Amino acid sequence: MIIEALYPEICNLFGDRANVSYFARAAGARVIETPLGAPPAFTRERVDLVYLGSMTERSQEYAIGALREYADALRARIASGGAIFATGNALELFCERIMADGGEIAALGILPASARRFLPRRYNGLYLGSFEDIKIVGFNSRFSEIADGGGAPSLFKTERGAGRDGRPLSDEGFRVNNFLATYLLGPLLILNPPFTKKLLRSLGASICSLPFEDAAMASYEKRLREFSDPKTGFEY
Amino acid sequence: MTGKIQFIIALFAGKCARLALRIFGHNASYLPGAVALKICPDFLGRVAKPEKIICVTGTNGKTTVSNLLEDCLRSLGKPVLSNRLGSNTAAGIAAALMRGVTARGRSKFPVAVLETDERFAPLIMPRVSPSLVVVTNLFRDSIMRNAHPEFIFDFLERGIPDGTPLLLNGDDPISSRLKPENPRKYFGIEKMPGDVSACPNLICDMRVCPECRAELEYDYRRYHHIGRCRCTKCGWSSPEYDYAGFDADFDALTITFSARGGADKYRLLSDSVFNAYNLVCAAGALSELGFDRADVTRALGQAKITQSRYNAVKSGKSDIIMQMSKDRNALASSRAFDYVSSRGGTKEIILMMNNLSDNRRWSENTCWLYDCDFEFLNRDEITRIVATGPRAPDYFLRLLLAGVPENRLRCVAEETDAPDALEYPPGGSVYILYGTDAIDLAYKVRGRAAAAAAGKAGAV
Repeated sequence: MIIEALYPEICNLFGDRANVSYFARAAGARVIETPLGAPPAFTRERVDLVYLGSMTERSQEYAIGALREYADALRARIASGGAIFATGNALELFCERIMADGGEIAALGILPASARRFLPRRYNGLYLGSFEDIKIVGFNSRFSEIADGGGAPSLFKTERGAGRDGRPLSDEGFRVNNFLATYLLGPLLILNPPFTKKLLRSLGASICSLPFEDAAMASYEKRLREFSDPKTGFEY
Repeated sequence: MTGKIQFIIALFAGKCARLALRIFGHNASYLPGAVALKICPDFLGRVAKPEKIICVTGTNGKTTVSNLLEDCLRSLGKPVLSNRLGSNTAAGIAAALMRGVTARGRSKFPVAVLETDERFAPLIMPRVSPSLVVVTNLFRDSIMRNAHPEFIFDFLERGIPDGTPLLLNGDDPISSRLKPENPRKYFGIEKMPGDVSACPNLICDMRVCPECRAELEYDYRRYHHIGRCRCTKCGWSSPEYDYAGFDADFDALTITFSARGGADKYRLLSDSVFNAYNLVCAAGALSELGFDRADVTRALGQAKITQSRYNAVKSGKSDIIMQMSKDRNALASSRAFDYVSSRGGTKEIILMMNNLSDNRRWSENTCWLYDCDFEFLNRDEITRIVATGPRAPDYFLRLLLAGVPENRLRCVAEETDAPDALEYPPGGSVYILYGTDAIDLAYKVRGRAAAAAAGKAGAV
């Protein structure tokens, strides 16, 4: 299995990069790190999963600039069922535009959606939702939200916390075939071992267990209990 | 006129609040300022201020540098106003400045050292008009509050007044680019044995050139993005130092500092690189304030590090060491891990950097654990690590992923029970790594560890 991490020199905030290392370790996968300025590996060879992590707001513009000439290739990959996983504000790269105080940033236009920044205000919250029959726990920490989702299907069903448009209980993220994008940030795959297993299997990996699965499940179950407890505050 | 009356009422109300709090034994280092700012939002602009104000800001080291500067200025005979005992927000600084004015509204101090939270810089700095702004560094900090260094950089850009002289860390390619039009001096530490060019850490927030986005090359690097770098594509590079530390000797605890054409040897505060930076930064600031080399040498010779951040006691056959390791701050904790792992001898560690207030109200965002170099703790000399507190299972998992063998790890729910999971080998050290809101609890844990170590030694 081959995982391509796009632009790790800038798409590496909030512990997101651990998703790649954990996933690679679980799948015994090879990781290709593609820097800004280099053509993505998925455009010339078989890549099982393309990953993009959180970045700064200026870096969003660099990443959009770098990916713009590959927008059609990304579109084709999504249409053909190729896997892409984006966490944090990497999700916004795939929208049509990002509306900011200083004007509008034209994004890749792959999703029929618009994002809106409310910087310097930062939304911080916990997240509890589900992916099919699997409970998802995660963290939101962002300067933006989806202003118009354009009816694109979501990734997670929200049970507590804010979804992609910042409203409580609204749907979270986007899912188109094997394109999975979520505002949840950080080591989402480590925080959610059942989801990670499902993702691995959907990519054809024949794994029996995840690295340190018992410890990962102990951490997941404790967090799930906390997040399910009505006494736990959800917005920071 | 209305503003002046507002200010007088604010000053009076703040002073009354201060008096009342002092009667009940409180520091009065925040609330009087908050009261004054509520009544008069421009209190910071209107209150009488010392002639010289030094604002010290940055992600890490600002408390140590502020305390060092204050101590040095006092030892040089300058009465100094500071917010040492209180908050580094607008209210804390308002409270400090209020403390420094007479009943007739005049400043009692010639100089103030104000530790300033980076996010409050736009509220504070334009109003207090600092004579010098010292920026120690910019790193990733709390994900929730500080997001990323670029976000904080923009706060400082907005906050630091045009024309204000700056003392910047020349080895930090992020903060050294602040306010390019302002007059500035740079401090730094020249190449040392042990420097590397590749990043030894999980994160480096300055991998690409700020001008052309090409990959930067580091001539030498201490950790993360701290070092000297350049762009081979467009020629951008780190600035030259005005104040340089060199010949650092972490065994003899000395460093040579060059300024104004001469060089003097100083005693280091500790054997850590980050405290060497703090010392060089303070020496640079004193030089910028006009003190001559002999004064700077004398003042720094008497300096000590704040006890709550690092202290050690001997108990039985073990050293029990408390080391602050800022919770929710991957960089500060990585520095603490690197430091602890590099100490000689057998070590056992209690990890209790949980943010207690977060865990009371909601559930701590633990993403930072995966920016933090737990890999430094994977050393044979570290024979036991106890993960404890509300986030113990998260630490336990993170340590396993860092490669620490499971037989060296313990997971203990209650912090005060953690000392029971240690073995106290003779001649070994116990490090208690604790977060910013767990100082009292850390002392309690230290007491239990000391008792256990003494008991173990007595039983042998």
